[in-house]
Order: sequence, then C-alpha cells, then structure tokens
Amino acid sequence: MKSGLDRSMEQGERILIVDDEVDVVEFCSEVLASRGYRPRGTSSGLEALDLAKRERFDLLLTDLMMPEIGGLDVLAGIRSATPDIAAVIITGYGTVEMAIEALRAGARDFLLKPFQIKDLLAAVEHALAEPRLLRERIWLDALTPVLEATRRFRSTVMLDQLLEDALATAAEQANADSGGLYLTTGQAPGLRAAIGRAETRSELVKVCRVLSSTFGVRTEAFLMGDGREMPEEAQRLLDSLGASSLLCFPLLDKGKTLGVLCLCRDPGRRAFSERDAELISILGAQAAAAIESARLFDELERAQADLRAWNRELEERVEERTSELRDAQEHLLRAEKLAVIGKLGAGIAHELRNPLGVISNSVYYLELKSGDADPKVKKHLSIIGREVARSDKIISDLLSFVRGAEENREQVDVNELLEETLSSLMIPAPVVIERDLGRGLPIVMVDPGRIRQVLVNLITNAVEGMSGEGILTVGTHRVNGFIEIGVSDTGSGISSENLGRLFEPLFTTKAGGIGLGLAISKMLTESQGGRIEGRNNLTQGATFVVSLPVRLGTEGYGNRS
Amino acid sequence: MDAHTKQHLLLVVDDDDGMRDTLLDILEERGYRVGVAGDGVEALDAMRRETYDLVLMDIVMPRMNGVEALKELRMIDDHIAVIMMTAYAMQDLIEEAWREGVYDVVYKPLDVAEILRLVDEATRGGNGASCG
Repeated sequence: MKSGLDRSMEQGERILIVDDEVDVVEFCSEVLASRGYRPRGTSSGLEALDLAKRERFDLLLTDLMMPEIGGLDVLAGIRSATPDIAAVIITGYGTVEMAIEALRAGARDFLLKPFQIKDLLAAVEHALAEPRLLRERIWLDALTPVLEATRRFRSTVMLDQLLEDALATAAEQANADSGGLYLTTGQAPGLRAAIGRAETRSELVKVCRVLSSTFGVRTEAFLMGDGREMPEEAQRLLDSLGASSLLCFPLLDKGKTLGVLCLCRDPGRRAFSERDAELISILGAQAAAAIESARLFDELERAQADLRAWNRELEERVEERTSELRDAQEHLLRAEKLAVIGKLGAGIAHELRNPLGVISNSVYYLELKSGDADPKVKKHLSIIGREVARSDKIISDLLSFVRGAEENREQVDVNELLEETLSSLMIPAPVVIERDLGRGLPIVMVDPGRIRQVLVNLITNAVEGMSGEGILTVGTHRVNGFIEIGVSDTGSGISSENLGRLFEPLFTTKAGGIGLGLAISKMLTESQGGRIEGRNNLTQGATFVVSLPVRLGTEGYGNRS
Repeated sequence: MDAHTKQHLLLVVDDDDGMRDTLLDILEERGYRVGVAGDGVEALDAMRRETYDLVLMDIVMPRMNGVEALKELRMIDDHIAVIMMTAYAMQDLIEEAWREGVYDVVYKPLDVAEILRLVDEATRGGNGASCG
C-alpha cells in the first residue's frame, strides 16, 4: 500500500486560484494542472472562502484587488481556519507598500501581472517549498512514535496488552477523542479495546461490526465526516457515535481481516486528515501483523495449557486407576487368602468330624455302661459329650460358610431380624440388653441368613468380650442411604494395634477362637453391598457397625418396628 | 435287648476302625449280632460267607465306595435292608443309592439314638425281618 504522502506528491498540492479576471484563473489552472498540481479556480473571493471551508488547500493564489473582497482579506479569512496555508499574491500594481503589506499578511511571493509561465511556476514552487519541508518534517516527527510503537508491538505477545497499546498509540497520533479496536477473529471476537466515552461503547461495537463487514472488500483506511461525501448510512453511524469525523482502518494480515481500528473526533473539532489516515495506516499495518502473531501465540499458549491440563487429568486418572487396581488386588488377595483358608479349614474340619463322631459314639457307649458308676465319671463323660458337640458345631458353621450357601435376598426389616437373632442366642442373664431401634426404617434387600450370621458373630463377640457380664446395646439408625446396625459392649475394648487387623482372617484375641468370625462377617456384609467397621467407644468397650444400603423405592415399608 | 433282636445279624461297613468298633459295641449292647468290614470288597466277601439281616455302610471308602458295593451286594441279596452313612453331601451318590434301594441314608455326625431307632425298625418289620 502506498502512503498518502506519496499520493499527495504524485497528485500535487491543492491550489486555490482566485482572480476576478477569468482568463487569469483559466490560464493558471491550465498551467498548474499540466505540472501535476491540483488547482481549483474561482473568480469570486467570497466563493473562495466558501471552498476553503469545505476543502483543504495547500496554496492560495489570489489577486490582490477584487471587487467584492480583497485578496488579503481572502487570505486572512482562510488562514483563520487553515493557518498553515501558503499564499502567492497576484497584483498589477507592484508597490513596495503593498508588498510589505502582503508579506505581513503571510504571502510568500508575488506575481506581477503580466507574468510568464516560468514566473508562475517559480512563485508557486517557492511558496510551497517551505511548507512542504515543514510537512515532511512534521511527518517524520509523527512517524517516530509510530515506529517506536511498531517496535513495541513486535516485542509483545500478550494480545490484550498489544491491543490496548495499538489503540492508545493510534488515538494519540491521530489526536482522536474516542475509538475502539474490534477483532473479528480469534478466541474472543468483539470490541477488545476502547478509549473515550464509555456510553457510546455499544454504538462503537455496532459501528465496528458494520465497518468490519464493509471491510470484507476494502483494504485501505477511510475517512468519514466533515463535509466529505458519504452515504447516508455512514452519516447515521457518525451520529450514533456523536462524532464529527471518523477514521477507520481495516486490520489485515496476509489478506485476512482480523478486525478494525476505529477512531473518532468529537463535534467542533477538525476532521481527520489524509495525513492522519496515512499515519494510522502505517501504524495499523504493523499492529495487524503483531496482533496476528500475538493471537497465534495466544492460541499456542491455550493449546499448551489445554495439553497441560489434559496431562494433569491423565495423570490423575492413571493414579486413580492405579489405586483402584491396588485396592482390587488387595481385595482379591484377601478373598484368595480367605478362600485358601476356607478350603484348608474345610478339609481339616472334615477330617476332624470322623474322630469326633467316634468319640461321640464312645461316649454314648460308656454312658450306657456306666449306670452305676461314680457320679464323677458320669460328669466327665457328659463334659466330653458336650465338648464334642461344641466342636462339631464349630465345624458345621465353618463348613456352612465355606460351602457358600446360595444367596437368597429378600425384603428384610432389620429391627425384626435383630430381635429374632437376639432371641435365638441365649444371652446370659448378667448381660443387660439395651435397645435403640430406629422407627420407620426402610426395608433393606439382603439375604437374611447372611446378615443374621453377621449379627450372631457380633453379638456373640460382644457378650464374650464382656466375660458374660455388662451392657449389650443394639441399635438401628438410618444414615444417608444406609441402615446402620450397631452392636456395642462394655468390655475392655480393642487395643490400638489390633484395630487395623480386626477383619483379617485367622486374627483372633480369643483363647478358643480361630479368627474367622469377623473375617466372615466382613465377607458376608460386603456380599450384601454393605460395610462393617469396628471402633472403641469413648467411655468403655467397643462398637461394631454394619451398614446396609437402602434400596431406592423401598421407603416407607418398614414401619413395623 | 429284646428277645426278637437276638437273632438279627448286622454288618457294619466303614473304613474308620474307630467308627466300626464303637458301632459294633453299641449295636451288640443293643442285642444284635454284628459283623464288620473295612470296605466294599471286604463287605461283599462277608456277605458271600454269611447271611446278614441289615447292612450299615459308609458311602465314602477306599477301593470300592459304598454305592458300588451296594450294587454288587444287590446281586447277592436283593432284599437286604441297607442304611447308608455319609459325612459328605454327595448328592449324586446319595441319589444313586436311593435308586438302588436303601432303607435310609443318615448323615455324619451320627445321631446314635436315631441309628438305633432305624435299625430296630428295619429289623423288626420291613424287609430286614423277612430275611431273618
């Protein structure tokens, strides 16, 4: 894209020619136009003033003596709005006084009528040389901060920071009162930076949206406002923003529209100039390139962040799975251990059954034959008989567990089950039974035989733990989705080193126990989707709690307690 | 020790000699004459030598199990009352025994009083008496 400065050079400066002699105006226009200048002529000083209000001119070429208004007055009039306009005075009466007066008024040169083409060109060139230099100087001065800004842009990858900077720099360089930077692509399209009045921001968004869609076919900056010809729609945009003039620049990178940079000036201020547009074009082009790289960087960052998050999640999942596997493995090992113990136990139990049967037969025989024997002999025979029966009971229990009777789930009222179990157990009289049974508990769907076995184990343990004397507390409660059955004793409790091993197979603290009771209880409870745990009471003794899941949809059936 | 039991001869078949000996003494005390065998092969030998009124036989034994012995035994005497004893819940063998025709099947640990009741019942009436 060529800069506006070059373009104005190519097209030449704009020259306003005023002379009441139409021939002179036409002559000058023709000559100057042929040399690349852009002349505009009129024979009326008043019309000249009017023209200068609407258009910007670099040079005023005016006759001194005119009927309606004098050349110096025309110059003064235009100067009030365009102070830097150069001027050349044309006069037929070359007096020193007049010359001084004209120079005072700001004219740079004279042309004495009649003048030659070369005189005209020399005067025009002379008059324009200084402002041209000045303009270039100003342009270079203006370019310096722009170049600095573009250097800054290149070193910034933070998109938001870059957008703020680009807009602020553009607004400062173009001396804008408000404006915005609107992106049409990327993670967050929309007005990404704004300066000036906050109340027009939503309007700014609308305007930017209209402009950016317009920019689908435009690649250059364009100006609106202050007498420039523009469609009605553009005027509406200006009005909605409360601005007198608008400078827009499409942010393009490699032919791709990224968004639009839009600057406004408040009413009462001069419109944006082509020079402003030029400056913003340079700045905007650099900003667009930087925005695109920042945007890509941003996307890369996001992708990396996503990747990191995904990695973290993966690690967590792996950890979770590992721990699950570890748990499953432990569970399996425990189950395997129990299975081995079960098989071994079953084998041993079976082998013991025959000798026990034989002993039992012998006792039967001896009792038959000892009708008149010493009462002590009879007593000991009965002790042997009783102990054989007890051993056989242990074996039967173990075998029935190992055989793993088929599961038979049904709707169970835990309070009823607990009462049945208690009444079947022959708890010695010195043990006081206290009940803390929840009312209206829901039904649970379990195998009553298995849970009864668990309760038998826990209650038997509790009674034995109190050496047959103390308070046995049984309770039922609803806790969240579970029914908890608690069995408490007032015995000596569980030592801390044993707390963690309670449910291990073959772990026992009882003199006569084989250490399967709690392990079996745990297995049975878990087979019903429940949990079992043991802990010491705050005051005395221990409590075991069996939690059984309440099946959904069974609410309200268990009001029999 | 009822008079009618005196003449009945029972055969106790079990590989456990403790079981054999205690049952022998208990049944003799009850007034029966009792022979013993340690397995199915011995039991068949005994059956060939003498006529028994009732056989009490374990199912699980070495060499020849109780049910195999029962089948052979039926070739020698297809009327004799047989009470099978078992410590295992071996459903297939037990069903097979029932199909071969047994007086009853009892489970170990034995309830001696129940055994005596069954033996008395089988020898007093039923097929055991007809053979005696």
